[in-house]
Amino acid sequence: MITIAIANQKGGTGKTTTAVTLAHRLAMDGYRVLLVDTDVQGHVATALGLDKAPGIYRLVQWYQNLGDLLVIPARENLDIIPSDKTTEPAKRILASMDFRERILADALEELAEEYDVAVIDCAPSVDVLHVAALVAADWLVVPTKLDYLAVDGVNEVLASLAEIKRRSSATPDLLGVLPTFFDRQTNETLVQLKTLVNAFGRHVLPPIPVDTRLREAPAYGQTIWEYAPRSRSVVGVVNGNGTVVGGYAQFVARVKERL
Amino acid sequence: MKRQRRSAIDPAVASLVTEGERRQRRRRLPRAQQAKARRDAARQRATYDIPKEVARAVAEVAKEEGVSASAVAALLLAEGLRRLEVGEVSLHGLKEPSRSPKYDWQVPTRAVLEVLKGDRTLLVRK
Repeated sequence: MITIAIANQKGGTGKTTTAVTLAHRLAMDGYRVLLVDTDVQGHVATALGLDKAPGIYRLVQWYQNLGDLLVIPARENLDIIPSDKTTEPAKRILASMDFRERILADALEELAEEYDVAVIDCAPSVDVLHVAALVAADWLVVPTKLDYLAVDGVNEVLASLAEIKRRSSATPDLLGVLPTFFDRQTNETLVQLKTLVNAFGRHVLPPIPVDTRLREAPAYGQTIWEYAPRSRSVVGVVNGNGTVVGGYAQFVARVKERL
Repeated sequence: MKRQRRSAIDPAVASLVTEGERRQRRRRLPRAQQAKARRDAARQRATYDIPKEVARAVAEVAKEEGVSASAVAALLLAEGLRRLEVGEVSLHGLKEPSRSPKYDWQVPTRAVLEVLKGDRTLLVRK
């Protein structure tokens, strides 16, 4: 099983949307996918039209041999470990436990036979689950808005990654920095895109264009593949030379090159 | 073994940056020049090898009609392409096997000049 963590300590950068969109597309393409929500907001379930549930709380109980994992089928080939407000006390319990940073890695090892890919949607914070997600991950995707503070958040998450690599045997690699809410009309977008390219080079992935349809989809409990599969957040934008650039279709193609 | 140079950045991202820089340069121009730059950007330039007799004929028509040579070439190409699409004309009969590894067929200059003079035609006989 390949594990991909979607993380950025800055909020509102499109982590959950990216995690749900990637997981659902891979599931549609025949991969058996497990999507893990570690954010107390529990928006993975909401985005898929399901109720929030104490999946992370049950995960902590499982780690203490007090119960089973809670895995909910969401779509064909796609199951989720959901989250809700009980994730907060779960993190407090976890903080006092030994080997806490292994919790997700161990859970995914337990489920390795059943899935080809695990996608972990991280919370916008540096907490025990964030570290556990990076320890469990083979690949890391860092979605970022193209503004100064969000780009600074990329540096922070990569510093965490370097620290985890230094302190543990885990070897997650950076799959890419994914610019989201890409609006090519503004100068700041270009300035920050160039900043990213200068800092991260080939790790900068083709961006996801800003798209109202992407914001509307969760209101209908649908992913973008169901709600508006031909929208520009999926198919990208037409560049000056006529080539189509960016969008989740191109992002998924880049991810599949690593699977 | 042929060595392939690795790109330092994703080609899609590179093209976006290039396009963004072009837009930025355009925005810095005076308003009148911005419109011209936009028109230029929307324009497609293509280079084709054509016999000089054909180029000369295009230039003569352009002069006679008082329009640009590009406009004449674009119009006549558009008309020819439409006719090709509906099957009124065809390249069949003008093509010869090519020795080039890139193409299966070639149309010799001689055939193009014969069409220009009216000795041969692309018209499909029904």
